[in-house]
Amino acid sequence: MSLLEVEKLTVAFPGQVAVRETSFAIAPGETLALVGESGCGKSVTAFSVMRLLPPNATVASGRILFDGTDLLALSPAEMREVRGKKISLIQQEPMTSLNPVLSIGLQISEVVRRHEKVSRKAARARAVELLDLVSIPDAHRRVEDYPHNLSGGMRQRVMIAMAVACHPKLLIADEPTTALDVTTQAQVLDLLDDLRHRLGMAVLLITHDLGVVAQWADRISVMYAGRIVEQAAIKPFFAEPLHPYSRGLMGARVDVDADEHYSLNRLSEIPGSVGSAAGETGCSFAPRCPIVVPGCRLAPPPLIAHGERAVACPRVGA
Amino acid sequence: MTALLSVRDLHTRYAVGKQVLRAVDGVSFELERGETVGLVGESGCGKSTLGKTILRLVPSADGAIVLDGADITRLGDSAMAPHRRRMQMIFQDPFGSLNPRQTIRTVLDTALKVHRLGDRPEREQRMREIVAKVGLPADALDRYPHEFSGGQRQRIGIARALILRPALIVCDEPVSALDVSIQAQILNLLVELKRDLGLSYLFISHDLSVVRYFADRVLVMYLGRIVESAPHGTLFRNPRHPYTKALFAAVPSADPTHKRSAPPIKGELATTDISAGCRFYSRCPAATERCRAEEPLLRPIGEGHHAACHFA
Repeated sequence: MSLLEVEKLTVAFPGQVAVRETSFAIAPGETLALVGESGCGKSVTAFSVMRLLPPNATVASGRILFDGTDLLALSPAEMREVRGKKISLIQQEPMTSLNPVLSIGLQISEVVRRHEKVSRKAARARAVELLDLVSIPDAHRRVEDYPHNLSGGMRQRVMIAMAVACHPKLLIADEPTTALDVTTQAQVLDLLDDLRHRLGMAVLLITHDLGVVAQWADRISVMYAGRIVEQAAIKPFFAEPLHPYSRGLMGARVDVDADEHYSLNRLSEIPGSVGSAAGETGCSFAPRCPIVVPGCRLAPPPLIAHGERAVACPRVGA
Repeated sequence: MTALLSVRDLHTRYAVGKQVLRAVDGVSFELERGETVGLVGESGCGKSTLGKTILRLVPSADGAIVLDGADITRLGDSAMAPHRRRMQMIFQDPFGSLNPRQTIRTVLDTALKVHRLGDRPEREQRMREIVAKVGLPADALDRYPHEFSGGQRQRIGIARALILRPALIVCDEPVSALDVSIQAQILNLLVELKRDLGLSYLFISHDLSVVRYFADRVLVMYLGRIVESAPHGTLFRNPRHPYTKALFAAVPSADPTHKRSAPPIKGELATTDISAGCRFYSRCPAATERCRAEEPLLRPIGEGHHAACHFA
C-alpha cells in the first residue's frame, strides 16, 4: 500500500489554477522526485500535503491520503499532530527557516517537546544526538550555536535534524540544496539518502535539477503548468524520456560529462516560456511543443499508462 | 598585440569588524580579444569580488588592472568614464538590478545620455537595434521590468550591458536564476552576440557544466586565489588540482547508472582556513605535512595549464 496518495488534486489561487487534477503516490521508504520549472506547481503540491497553503489558495478538489487518512479532512489541531511528527518539510533557504535569536539546540528540542512528553534535559540530549546523526562535528558544543554561527550546509543539516527529530514517515524536501554549493549539495543529499534508509522514511524530493534526480531518486514525476506530464522509474526515464517536455528538458541541459562546447554545437532550446500556457484550452505544452498537432489544442491529454510508466501525450507511442 | 585585459597580482580586501578579509589575494591572468574566460568556484571564494574589482566597482588594495594597454587601476572618475563604456556587467538577478519604475527605454537611454552618445534620433535608433538584437519584441521599450518573464528580464540586462558597445562583458552568474529551458536560450544568445559583435567575456559561475560549454579557458578559484587554470578541454579532461577534481566529482550526472566514484570532499569553504600552508589543506583528501607548512604557488604543468599544488 502507498504511504501517500494524492488523488486528482486541484489547487486554485485568485485568477489562476496552480495545480490541476494531479495524482501521484509514494510507497514507504521510497524517494519520489517532483521535477519542473519555476511556477509549475511543484511547491504548491508540497504545501498542500503539509496543509500550509497561503490563505488565498483553495483546494478545489481532490484527496490527499496519508496512511489511509484524508489529510484534507483533518481539523487544524489534528493536522498539527501530523506536521513535524509524521510528515516533515525542509525548504530551500535554511537561514530564513531558522529563528536567528534562538540556539539551534533549543529549536531542535522544541520540535521534540511539541510531539513527545519528555523533560527539557532529555529533549536537549536528543538534540545533541540528532546533530550527531546529521554529522555535525562536536555536536555537544555546537548545540549552543546560533544559526549565524553556521555555514549554509550546516544550517541545512540542522533543518534536517529538526525534520527527522520525531522519525517522520515522509520527508518533503523542497529544493533542499538549490542554495548550496555543489560539494555541499552532494554531502547533504548523501546524508538525506542515508537517513531515509536508516529511518525507513519516504522522501518527496522537489527539484529542478535532473542530475540530482538521476543520482538520488527512485522515481520521477515531471510537472508542467500544474499537471504531471510524465511518471516513470529513474532508469527507464533517463534512458529515454517520452513526453516532449521531458525530452526538451533533457536536451536543454548542459552535461558536465558531455563533450559539448559553444564552438562545436548550439544548445537545444525549448522555445518560448511557461507563460505561454495561459489561456490554453488543450495541452499546456502545445505552444512550445515541437510535435504539436491541431488535436492537441482541443483538450488537455490525460496521463495514460505505457507499461510501468505514464505519459500525458497522445503523440507518444501513437 | 596586447591582451584586452591584463590583471596583475590583484588584491581586494574587506574590513569585517576588526579583521581583514582577503577576498581577492594575488590574482593574475590575461583575457585575449574574442576570448571567453570562465571563473569557477564555490560561494565566498572571491569570484564575484574579482569581477567587480576589475570593473572598478570595488576598490582594489594592490596590483594592476590593464585594459587595452591602459592601466585603469587608479584612474579618477572622469578619467575612468571612457573606459567604463568599454567594459560592462551582466548580473545574476536582472530584476534586482533594474529600477521597477523605469521603462526599458529610460533604462537604456540613461546609459547613452551619461556617456553622451548621440542625439535623440541616434539614441532611439540604437535602442531599437539593441532590443531587436537580444530577441525582445519592439514594444518592449515602453514597458516596465515587471511585465517581463525571468528570461526576458535577463535579455534586458544584456541589452543594457551592450547598448554602450563594450569590448568586455563581465557576466556574473547570468543564467543561475533561470530555468533550464530558458538557460539554454540565454547561453545561445550570448554566443551569437559574441560572434556578431566580437565581444570578450569574463564568465563567472558556480556551475561547472555551463562553464565547460561556454568558456575557452577556465580559472578555478579557491579562497581568493587561482588554484588551477587551463584551456577548457584540458581542464575538464585532465584536472590536476585536488580541488578541481573534487568539484567535478560532486556534479551529479544525469546518467543514473553512472555513480560517483569518490565521496564528496569534507567540510565547506571557510575564510578562517587561511594559514601558512595550502588553503585547501583542511579539506584535501591528499594533504601531507608539506601542504600544511608550505603554500604551493601557481606553476606551469603543461601547455597553458597551471596548478597550485605541490603534487599536481
